[in-house]
Amino acid sequence: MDFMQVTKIERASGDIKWNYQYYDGNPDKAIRKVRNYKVPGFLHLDPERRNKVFLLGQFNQRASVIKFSKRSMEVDWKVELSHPDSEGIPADSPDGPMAEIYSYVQPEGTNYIYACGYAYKGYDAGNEPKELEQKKYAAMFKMDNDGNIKFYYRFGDSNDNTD
Amino acid sequence: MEVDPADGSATHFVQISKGEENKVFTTFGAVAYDKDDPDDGKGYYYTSFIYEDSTLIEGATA
Repeated sequence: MDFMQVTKIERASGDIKWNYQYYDGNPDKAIRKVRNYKVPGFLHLDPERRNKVFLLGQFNQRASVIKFSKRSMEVDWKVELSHPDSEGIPADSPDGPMAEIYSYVQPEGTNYIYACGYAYKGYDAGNEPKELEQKKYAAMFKMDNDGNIKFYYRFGDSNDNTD
Repeated sequence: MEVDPADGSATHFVQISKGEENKVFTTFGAVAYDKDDPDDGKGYYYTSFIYEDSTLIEGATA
């Protein structure tokens, strides 16, 4: 089992101020296998609140944003882009609005983050991640500093012509 | 590693490790530098990576 580690290092001395780790502790092995994908893609200092940092990327095989404190990595909130339970998507499916954040920007003077990445759609149980490459869509969203999604779009019909 | 933009020379270097163990740290683009920490005014790097279950990571600078 690997973990997503987050570390604060003092520049001058190289001393580690703190180090925390995260993992998916779901007791269901099948769910844990599918969800055990994580990408700590970007760390972004909050320009509005000097004591906060965003971590953007992927967690539980879903695009995720975590906002935390510089002092202790106490988490303010964590967002994972997933389907509502009401849609009935199986818990071991990577299908969702966005699976990973590839890039982001927070325009100067705004409280909004714009992020883009990809989404899986049409997942069949048992498929390995390599096969999922054929079922990717481009996706983007706008989010405010409090983790509220303001809009979301998905583009394209994937390169799987059976969809 | 900090690099002088004028000539590309390395001006500061920090690495993290777990003792003498030679295990893989899987990194992506997650690194940020905060030159003025709100608590003590010092400069800090923040980084995130994939590694085994461990909180015994060490830092060093050069």
